This record gives sequence, structure tokens and C-alpha cells, in this order.
Amino acid sequence: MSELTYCDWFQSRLSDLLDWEAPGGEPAGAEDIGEAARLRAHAAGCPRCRGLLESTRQSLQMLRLSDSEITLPGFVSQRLHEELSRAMAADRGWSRQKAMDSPARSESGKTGRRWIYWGWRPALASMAIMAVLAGGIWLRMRSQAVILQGWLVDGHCAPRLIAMGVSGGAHQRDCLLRPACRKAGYGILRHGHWVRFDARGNSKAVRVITRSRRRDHLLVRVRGDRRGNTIQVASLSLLPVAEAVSYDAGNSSGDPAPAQTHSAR
Amino acid sequence: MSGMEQPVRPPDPDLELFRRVQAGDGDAFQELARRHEHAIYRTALAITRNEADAEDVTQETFLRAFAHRDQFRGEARFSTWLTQIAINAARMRLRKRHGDMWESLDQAAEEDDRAPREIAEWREDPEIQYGKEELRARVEQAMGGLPPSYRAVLVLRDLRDCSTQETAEILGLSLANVKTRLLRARLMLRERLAKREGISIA
Repeated sequence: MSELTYCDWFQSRLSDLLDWEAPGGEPAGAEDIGEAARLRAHAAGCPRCRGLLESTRQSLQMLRLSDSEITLPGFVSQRLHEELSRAMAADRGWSRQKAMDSPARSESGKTGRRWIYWGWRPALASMAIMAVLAGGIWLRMRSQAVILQGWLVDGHCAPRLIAMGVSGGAHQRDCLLRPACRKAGYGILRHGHWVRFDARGNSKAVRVITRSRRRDHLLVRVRGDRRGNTIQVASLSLLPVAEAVSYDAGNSSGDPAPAQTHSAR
Repeated sequence: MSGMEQPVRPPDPDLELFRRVQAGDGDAFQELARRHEHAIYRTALAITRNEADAEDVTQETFLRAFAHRDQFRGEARFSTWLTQIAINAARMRLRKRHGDMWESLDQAAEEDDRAPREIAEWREDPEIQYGKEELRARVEQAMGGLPPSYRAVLVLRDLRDCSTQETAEILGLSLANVKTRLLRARLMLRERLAKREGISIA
């Protein structure tokens, strides 16, 4: 410490002192305990170093406070768990391992009551699978392959824009990125009607919005399967400004030629 | 020697769930994801400073963790392992956006191990002055001004409660380097928060 003043020495050890104050971070060993005592003694007698210690401690408190306010948006969490389910379903080794470890297998051969108990479960599971398959087939029969063109608008602002009877062209990119708007999910606004995107479409919409530097007039073309008021988005593209302005002025011919529209695929 | 790590590590609260994952329980992994998704998102956001990137990094982290679940041996905490994956994914994002900024900052940090001398004066307790939103905006701005490699150390040590040893392992740094960066990052954060107040340098 020959070249350093005591204040410099204190500053260089400030982090250690803060760490020693943390729960479970007490100094270990006589050397550290002695060093902590010397640092505290210096802070007690030096207003400048005491102030430095206090204010650094406060800035870390501010950091922790602000961090605790941040949470993963709900729709992103939902998308994450959907993707995880997909990854699990796609993992063949996982499925095989799961089947090997299933209670039905490991507990087979036990008491008769246990055997009867598990006996109705496969039948129930089969019925459930058949019901899901039937539902899926019914939904697919109702699906419609579409290509739509319209304004990229979130579910939070869409009802307001429709109620006001205004075009989505003026809807701003900054607004689209507001937490409430992101949370509500995205969709396409056309002819006074808003059609919601599925989780994949939302993910694509976020990419389109964040990558674009356009302030407004976010005219998009979406291709996918429409089921009721939701589109399962296959692709989403931002159209050029000129096209957006023309669309806003009502000069556009509307939606592009639709892909094969079908009632069953 | 200062700042010795705790000799006895507390048991990992995620280990039991992870054992169930390894036995093929999908719900257990979903539960682990639910436990850590917010922390991983905060970590990714603190590094990338971009919400869309942080969301992608969060998703990528859990998908990678699931795909490479056999590589987790339980030597480190599960949360540390996840954080390591998230930091690497966030680094890749930063590289794509800003070139190899992270690496150049790694080198720059070695040059001078003395802490900054000039200390900005700090007058009042800012927690009392600001509402939550304003506080968050100020901290975000201050954090945004920190070099990414310093930010990473600060986030891991002061927000994710990683030990110096864990931080060093996650970032591939020496213990001394972690300590140097942590001191600088803390002082820089303090300086930037003080400067936001328009306070003069003492």
C-alpha cells in the first residue's frame, strides 16, 4: 500500500466490503475479518469513503429494485411452453424413455386392484385421443388457406381503431411495442375487422416490428390457415411504404390472389 | 486473501425436479422453466438491452437446456447452468448486432486494474425521490451505458446471486478478473446514476 492513500485502498476493496455485508458472504478467515474491520474503521472516520460506500450500496439497491419489476411477457411465456411441448414431442428418445418409466409399466404385476385401476386408463386415454383427433379433423376441415393483406395492429388497439373507423395506417410502431400492446398479441386489421395471429404469428410480428424502422404504415401480407378469427401464420412480410400509402388511400386492389381455398385438406 | 467463497454449497433446490426430467417427466421440465423463465429473461434483457432479443434468448435457453439435458451433471446449480446457456446465447446476439464488441472489451478490461479515482457526489436517497417506473428507466439508462462485459458480471453477481467462482466459470474469466470488473461495474453504475442527477464531480 506504499503508493496508495488509505482512500484509494478503501475504494479498491469496496466490492469486498459490500460482498461481506451480503447474507452468507461474511468474511472467512482471520485475514479477511481483520481487513473488514480496518475498512469499516476507515469508513467511520472518513466522510468521503463512508459516502462512497453508502451510495454504492444504494445504487445496488436501485438495481435490484428495478430488476424485480421485470417479468417475461405472458404471451412469450406461453409461446415458450408451447415450443417446449413441441420439442418434447419431437424427441423420440424422450418418448421412449418416458414410456419405459411410466407407472403402468413399472407397477404392472402388482395387486389385482392395482391392475383393475390401471385397466380403464388406456381405454379412457384412447377415447380422449380419438376425441382430440376427431376435433382436429373437424377443425382442419374448417380451415381455409388464405393470403391476407392489411395493417399490423395489436389486440389492445384494434377495437379502438375499429370503433373510431380509422385506418390502421396511422397506428405507430412505438405503440405496437408498448407492453400492453405486445401482451394483447398481434393480428391483421382489414376492412374494419381484426384477425388474430397464432403464437407463431405473434413471434413473427415482433420480429417484423423490431426490425422495421418505419414509424407507421406497417402494411403486411400474411399467409396461413385461417380458422375462425385466428390465422395460423406460415409467413408474414412487411410490404413497401409506397404500397402501404396506396393501400391507405384506398387505391389498392385489396388482398392478393388467394391461395387455394379449400374446405378440407 | 479476500472474498473467499462459501466452502459448503447449499443443496440445489432444482436438482430433484431435474432428476425427474432425466427420468422422462416432461411436466418437471415445464415446471423448471416456469421457475426460471423470469430470471433468465431479466438476465438476457440486461445483457442484450433489447426486449425482442431477450425473448428469443429466453426461448433458446430453455430449448437448448432441454436438448442438452444429458450434459448437466449436477456439479453446478441448475440455475447456474441455465444462466451460462443464456449468457452464451445473449453474447451471440450481441455479436450479430455489434460485431465482436464483447471480445474487444474483454481485452480492454485487462489493461488497468485500478478503480476510477473521481467520485461523483451523491446527495439524496433516490429510492425516495422516484416512482417505480422512473427508477426503472434511470437504472436501465445507467446499465445501458456500461460495457456489456461489465454488465454481465454485475448482473450475475448482484442480481442472479452467482458466487465469484460461478461467475468466473460462466464467463470464462479468472477470479481476479471477475472481482476487478465487479468493482468497476459497481462504481460505474453509481457514477452513472449520480450523473443522471446532474451532480458535479467532486
